[in-house]
Amino acid sequence: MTLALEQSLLAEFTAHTLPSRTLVWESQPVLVVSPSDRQLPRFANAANASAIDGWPVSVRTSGGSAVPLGPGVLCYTVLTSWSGSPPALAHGYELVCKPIVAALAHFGLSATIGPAHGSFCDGKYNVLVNGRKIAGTAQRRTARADGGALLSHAVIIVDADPAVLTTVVSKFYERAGGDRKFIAASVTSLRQCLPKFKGDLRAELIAALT
Amino acid sequence: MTDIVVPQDLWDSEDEGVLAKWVCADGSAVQKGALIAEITVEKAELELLAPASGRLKILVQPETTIRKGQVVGTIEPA
Repeated sequence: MTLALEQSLLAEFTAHTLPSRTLVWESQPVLVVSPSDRQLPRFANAANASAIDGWPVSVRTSGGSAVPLGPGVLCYTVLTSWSGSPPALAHGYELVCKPIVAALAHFGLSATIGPAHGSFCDGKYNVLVNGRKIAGTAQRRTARADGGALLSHAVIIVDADPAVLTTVVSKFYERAGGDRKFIAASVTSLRQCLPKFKGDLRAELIAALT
Repeated sequence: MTDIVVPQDLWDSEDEGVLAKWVCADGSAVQKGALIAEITVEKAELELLAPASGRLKILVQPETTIRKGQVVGTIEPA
């Protein structure tokens, strides 16, 4: 599964009204940035340096800012079509946030939705545990004359190190000339929330999500 | 001439958006219903379609804050 395949499916949902579809997937290490990040003054240099560090840069079509994907990070995507007026932005985020909150409850964790100031790719619709971001979200909506399609996706930090992820993003913006500072402590992982958990965290999370 | 207006129902909140980019160049020929620009609101990328066929005239530059109902360009007869 790759971002390219996600985009290909979105094109299908734009062309045809299809039943909603959910994807749970992982990526090779990649730093996915938003279209606006390409406007940064030293974007090309930052992308090259990030690739040398083992985090090649890929531009996604949803909003937000840079997010590292890779081992220990789970991606959760919902695709849906609509006719007439588009659904509320909040609805698009609920499509991914609610299942994640429910899945975290499976582990006994109480999650909320909101901003996590200082986290990379912050927004109003993060999933938080104890006020720290465990999942971030973004949307891409496509339009046609009589409706459109919605791709809502989330990145869930399972057992990747939030400090490492935050450093990857911080380095990118520092090199690219972006004025963004991040605080690793504003981000957490499922592993950090469940230090005594003995089972296969990733497998159990996938089961809880699906 | 047809105004390119940010649709009132493109998003549901009163938040401002940002015109992220024009997909078509100023002065280029566009077809009615074609994707011409992308708008970002609350980490959501939204598409703006051409309301008519003709030649695109850009009035609002990328990375500019916009509101629903705002005219961001025009389509002039080819």
